[in-house]
Amino acid sequence: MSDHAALPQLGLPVGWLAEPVASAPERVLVALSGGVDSSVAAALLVEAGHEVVGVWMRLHDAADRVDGGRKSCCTLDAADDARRVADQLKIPFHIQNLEREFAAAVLEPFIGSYLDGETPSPCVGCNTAVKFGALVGKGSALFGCDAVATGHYARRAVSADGASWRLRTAVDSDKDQTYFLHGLSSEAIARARFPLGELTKGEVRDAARARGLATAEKPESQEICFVPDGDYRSLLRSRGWSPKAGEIVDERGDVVGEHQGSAGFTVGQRRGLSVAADTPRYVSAVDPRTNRITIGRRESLERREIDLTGAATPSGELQSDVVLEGRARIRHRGVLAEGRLISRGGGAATLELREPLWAPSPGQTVVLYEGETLAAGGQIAAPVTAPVAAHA
Amino acid sequence: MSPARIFADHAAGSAVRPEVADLLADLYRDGIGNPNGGHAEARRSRAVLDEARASLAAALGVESRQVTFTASASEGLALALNSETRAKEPLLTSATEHRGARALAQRHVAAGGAVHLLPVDERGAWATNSPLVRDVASQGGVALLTLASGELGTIQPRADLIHIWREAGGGALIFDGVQAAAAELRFDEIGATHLVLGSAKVEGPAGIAALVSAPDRRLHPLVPGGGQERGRRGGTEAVPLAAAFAHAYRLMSNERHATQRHLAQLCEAFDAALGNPATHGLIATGASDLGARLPGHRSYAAEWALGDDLVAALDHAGLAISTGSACISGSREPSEALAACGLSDAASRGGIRISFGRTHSVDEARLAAATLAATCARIRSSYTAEVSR
Repeated sequence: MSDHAALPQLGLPVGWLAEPVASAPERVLVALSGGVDSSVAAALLVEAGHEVVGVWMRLHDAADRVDGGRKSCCTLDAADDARRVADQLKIPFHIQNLEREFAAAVLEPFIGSYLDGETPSPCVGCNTAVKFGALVGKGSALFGCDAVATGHYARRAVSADGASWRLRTAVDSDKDQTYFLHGLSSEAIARARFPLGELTKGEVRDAARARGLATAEKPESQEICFVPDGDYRSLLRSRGWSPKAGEIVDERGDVVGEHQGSAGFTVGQRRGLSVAADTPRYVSAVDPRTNRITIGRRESLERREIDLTGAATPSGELQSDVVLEGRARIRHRGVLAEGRLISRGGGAATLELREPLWAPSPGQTVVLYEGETLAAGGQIAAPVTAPVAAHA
Repeated sequence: MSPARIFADHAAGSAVRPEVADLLADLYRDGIGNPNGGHAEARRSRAVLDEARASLAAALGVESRQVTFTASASEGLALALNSETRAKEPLLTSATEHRGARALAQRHVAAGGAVHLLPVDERGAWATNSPLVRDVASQGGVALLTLASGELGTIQPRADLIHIWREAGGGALIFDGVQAAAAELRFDEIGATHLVLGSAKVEGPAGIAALVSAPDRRLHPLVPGGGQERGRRGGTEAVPLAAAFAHAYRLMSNERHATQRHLAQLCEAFDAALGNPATHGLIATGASDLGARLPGHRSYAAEWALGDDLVAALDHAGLAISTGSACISGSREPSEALAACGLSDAASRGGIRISFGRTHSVDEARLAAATLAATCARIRSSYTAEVSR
């Protein structure tokens, strides 16, 4: 079973319209990362006649520590690339320091999440609180910008009465990034601009080349920007985490091995388990309180019911007993499973699936699509469901 | 962006004035190059270099041999310090020094030396009555101090300090006179051991500066070379740059009083248009006595915005200014100078400076004030301190 799936284009649900193709000229802040996507986004806005202000966000001091060989969006080289593109497009360029906002909304929750045995989604927090949160406020206050644009692959949909907004999946379903944007409120979506939503990655690359943009041939950045070496465990250690050895137990609760620190593991992980077994074993639960990791066979990690916290639609928290039907996914580009979200109020909800999803991990983001629109999202609650062998 | 921009960041460096740019172009076109050689071409270049040195020396009241050309003021300070300090000698510097001087002080610490920070008052002026001055001087220490703060605009009470320093038997006094050059500055009247001056702050080209030293001082080169600059600095002399610097300095010296009067008028118009800074949420920083400020220089701090944010918003509104404390792009570190003046942590991150130039009109000064006022009002109404900081 492939873990990656493209979103089929299912059209807009009743009552929702595609965003207007062209809008009146406005002053737009573009978050330039120094990559090809945001460069093209800025170029398209300029060509559409908008007044564009380019901004590169300084989010953490990894920018000063990492050399240019890395492909992260947050190095000083990336800032230089963003500046060059702004210069090519003849738009103003500013560096905005959002380190404090990033630390509060992304970095600290990321560390806390791992220490709690969860799997964080740092990009979600960054998009919600930083790019379409603090940056929107700064853009408005400092430059009088009405909107903030990024190089995300996403589109927008507006309700027929024009009062509410939802995210809509990108034309390039393989690149669609609505999963990471799910935390945006209707109000935030109204002020967001995604100029790449109608383009494929190949078309964006071609557009960059056609315009001779400095970033046209720049490779993709995939890693978590503030963990440029990919080793989040060393980040945890630098924040005072001292790994302690603990037990690895099987689904019956029998001790089958030892690990060197539970925060180094995430549900669904296979690597790093030094356990002898006839078939592959995966982490099925991480309990930081007992410092114990439970492992099981692949099929034992399948779930048809997933409890959520923070379940909300772009228009706000769900009332209790609201039922939303749609297709859910628990990973970026992960498989889509048909099911329904049943709200119990206060952000609590249960996702009931027709087909099981594999290895839902507490803390991970869940989104539910209604047609092409993102109707709701939330985080997987801990524990997912009581494993066969509870920690009692 | 507004089409009519106002560049009010002359303390960071002005554009090369047209007469100087013409001279530079002529010298390059005329093939003025390496002055070291036994041919007529080299002698021609040497004559231009000698003339530049003599011109600068005359303006400063020294002999030509006391002037060493360097590529930057920072290099000049490093060369002077390299020549005067050994690890055992304590170094006196101030709490409002720019980062270049601070970096040199840190190097002294790394070499095992002691560094003492001369405190400043709330206006950024040296506390010359501090016992530290006499203490460090009596140990044969060396002082590395900036005569006027580019960030705060405060012209330092150098006469008081030099008097106490000399009386206590202090060692070399190394002064950064880059910003102070706009005020009266004659080496023979200052009583310094070394004085550093830069070209870009007097509408000359960047990439050239001068270290002026007392006649009895011997310089220990940072870069050894083929005997250039009397063996004080290796590397072929940048003759056209040196000539352009000297020309710019001479023009500035000749026009100094007229320029100062004009800059005072600009500041008067700016102040009148701005009104009380507090009504815009701004705290005036640096010397309040206009006679103790650099001409054409105004500085403020805001507790409700980062200095970088104000700079960006004003840039967008067509007014080019700076925070005055050049540092890492986008860094959120507070300004050491503002903190040393006793400003709050928030205000120390919210510093800006406005520095007018010779070519501004009174109307531009008024427009700059109006732009500052309007931008402050917009930002303050848009976000609260909690959100932005």
